Amino acid sequence: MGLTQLHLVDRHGQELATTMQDAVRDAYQWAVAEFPNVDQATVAGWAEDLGKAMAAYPGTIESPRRYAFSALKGKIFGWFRKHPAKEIAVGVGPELDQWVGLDRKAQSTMERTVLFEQLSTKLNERDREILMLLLQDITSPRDVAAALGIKYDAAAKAIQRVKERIAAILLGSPHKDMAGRPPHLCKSAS
Amino acid sequence: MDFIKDYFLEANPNPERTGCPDEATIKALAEDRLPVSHSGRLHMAGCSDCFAEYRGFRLKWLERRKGRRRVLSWAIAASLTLFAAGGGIWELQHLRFRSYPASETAANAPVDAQMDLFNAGTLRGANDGVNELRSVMLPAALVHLAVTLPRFSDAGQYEVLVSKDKTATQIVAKATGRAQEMNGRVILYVTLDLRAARNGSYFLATVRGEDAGAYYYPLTIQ
Repeated sequence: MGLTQLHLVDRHGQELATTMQDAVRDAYQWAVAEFPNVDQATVAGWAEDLGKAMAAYPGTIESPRRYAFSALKGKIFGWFRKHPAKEIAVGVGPELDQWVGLDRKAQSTMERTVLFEQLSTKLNERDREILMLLLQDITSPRDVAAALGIKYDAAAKAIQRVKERIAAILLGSPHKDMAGRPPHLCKSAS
Repeated sequence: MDFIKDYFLEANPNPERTGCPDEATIKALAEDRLPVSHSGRLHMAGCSDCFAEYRGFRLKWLERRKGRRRVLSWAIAASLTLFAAGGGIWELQHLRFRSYPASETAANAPVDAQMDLFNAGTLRGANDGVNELRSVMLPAALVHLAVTLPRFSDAGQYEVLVSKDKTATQIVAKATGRAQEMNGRVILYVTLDLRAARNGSYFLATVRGEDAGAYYYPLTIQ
């Protein structure tokens, strides 16, 4: 599927400066790829509004690209907070929602908030750094050890610990059956 | 990993960009041009804005790399196809050359040849000895052959065989013609296709249609 064409003009209909256009387009393309579940046309609308806003303060924006990314990211997460994903039940689900008043939307919002809170509280700084390295496709204990400036064995153990903690967060209270089955997030020597 | 990614994109806002590496560094990190030990990698664990920028550069770079790989794989496929086609053409030409060397290619044109057996002492039958007639040479070609049959031969329908042996089990060429008497000699005109024959010694047999008597004469194909 192609990307929605952006109409990047200022409030007077004048075309934006090239650097601003590039910045907004980059941020828009990233947002569409990163959040495929958000309506593309909505993101395009935000990007065009962002272009207008940037054009209103041409001299004050030091790095258009950084500004565009931050602003669009803020828009998207703001939208997520206001419009969390809603699970649609098939079959008797909608009727149950009506009868019992089960609000899956609220449940989903709560789950996301709780999950993020747990990631903040249950993971220490080192765990978060390892997760960040995994997100950068740095997955082997050797590379993690090099990035963190620690020994190979310590890196392997740290990776294993992160796996277990993530598994515990995802599964709620750690269950004995699941203790030995962390998710496969990365390569490790363990 | 999606929710972890979302977590890092949201959890650590840094709108003032305090302590952030510059765009060029983030781009270099995203394009794997900096070592894994670069401090910028760990910085993103505490800066959602840098991580968003990183993701933007990274996704773009991966897309470009995918495109390059696609082009590369197409180029390799095209090269292989061209190579295979070239090899096929070469093989075809090579085989043709091997099958029809220059001398034989020229032999596609019919060659006129004569074989005078008028004074030949003939040996009849498969058990006879070798004819004392000197071996006649014929080219490995399409030959319009005029055979002057031995003295006292009758005119009429004849079959001419070229065979590796005198039992006519390995016939390499065969033709039929009518022998006619001319100036006291009986001459048989046949066209023999010897293009497939390899160089070597053979026997040429004349077989008269009526009595099926076969006479063998030594023949060399060159």
